Amino acid sequence: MSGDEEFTEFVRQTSGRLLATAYALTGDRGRAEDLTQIAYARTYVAWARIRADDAYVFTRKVLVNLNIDWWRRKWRHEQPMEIVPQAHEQPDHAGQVADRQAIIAALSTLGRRERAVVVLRYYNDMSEAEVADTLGISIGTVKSQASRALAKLRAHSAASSQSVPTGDSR
Amino acid sequence: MNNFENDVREALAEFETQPPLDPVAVVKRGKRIRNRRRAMVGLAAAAMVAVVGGISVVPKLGTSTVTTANPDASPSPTTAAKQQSYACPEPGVVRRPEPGAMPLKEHWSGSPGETVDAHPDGDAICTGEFGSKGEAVIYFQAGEGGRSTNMWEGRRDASGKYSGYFNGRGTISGNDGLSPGLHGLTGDGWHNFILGYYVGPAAEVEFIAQGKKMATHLQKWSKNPDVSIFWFRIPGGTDPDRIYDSIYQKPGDVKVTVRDADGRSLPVGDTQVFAI
Repeated sequence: MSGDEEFTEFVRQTSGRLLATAYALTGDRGRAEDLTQIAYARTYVAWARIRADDAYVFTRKVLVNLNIDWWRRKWRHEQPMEIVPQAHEQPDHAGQVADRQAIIAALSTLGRRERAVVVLRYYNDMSEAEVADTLGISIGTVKSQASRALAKLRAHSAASSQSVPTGDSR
Repeated sequence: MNNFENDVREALAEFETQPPLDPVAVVKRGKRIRNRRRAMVGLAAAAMVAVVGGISVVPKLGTSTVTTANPDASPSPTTAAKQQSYACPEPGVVRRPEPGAMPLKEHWSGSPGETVDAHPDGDAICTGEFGSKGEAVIYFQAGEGGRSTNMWEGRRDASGKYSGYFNGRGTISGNDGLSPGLHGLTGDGWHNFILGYYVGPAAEVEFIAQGKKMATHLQKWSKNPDVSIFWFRIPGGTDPDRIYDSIYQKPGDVKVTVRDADGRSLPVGDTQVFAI
């Protein structure tokens, strides 16, 4: 199998998962696709170097750091629009669905790095050490950012959940 | 794990795995990036030069002299800005890498005729680093019409013939490009070298990448003693993307200091490194 064929297969097998991570990081499907495509394109450039290693980890690292550093430059004049994914709503669990949607909506209140920490820890199930390596920060910073991010999410989602039934717009 | 962490985990699970990307579009975009990084791609694929050689000078073989490239008398990753000569030998003098030297990375396409003849303006620098097509050389060459002088990286083969394959960003045109400081720092497409030039009485360019001091080199250009060709080889264990790509760079990744022979600081100039 040639290098291009190997790479093509790699994209087919892994890009759906990484695209979902990008979507969780950005909350915007179009941006997620753009970021993911660029991350894979950069992986393609480095393929000869990294194919024997964990290429998925490399691509995810590129993606996450692109989102933090480059995304801001490219779209700095645009206000990110949080798109809450459609939940599989079940009547019996309407409250839980609302809570989940409130948490997802509250993601937009996080800084990019805070959000990356949350997504990598709780969506990708990565350890604190893996998150630290991916973001190039210390484990202590991962802990503090995760703690702060969870506190923000809790506060905003709680406020959001309370506001719905009462009609309070604040 | 507390309940709220579980809630966050469940909420994020709403971001379901998506349909895969179109690999063809990804490869196309990847090729665009790669092509941008390579001003010229060429040279037929060839087996790496065998790493052989003696300590400094090997006896003559027929009419040729064979020497071991050793421009740096005491190579060390912390050695900066050597002032010894990197002059290339006369044609017919065959140079070989030092024993144990790491060959340059070269991913040639194998297509013939993709190199260009080299016509160095002034003396070329023989770096002492070897790849499959010979020793890496750095030189200035007149641009089209002779209105500018451009920096190139190429190879000197066993017969002493020069070929150019990588056109860097360093360009001198009249007085443009002659302000004090570094100019045109460029990373070649194979993560081998960073090259550029310095204008001014620099004796040392200290280039720290990711906390490590690079083994930098300076050699005065024979056509203009105010100009020194500057280069270093990217060592193993250093992420080249974090040297020349702002996308990957983290704060403090690159720190550049320039000093004269008395240790006084000089202007650093343009320290941004571009990869072509």
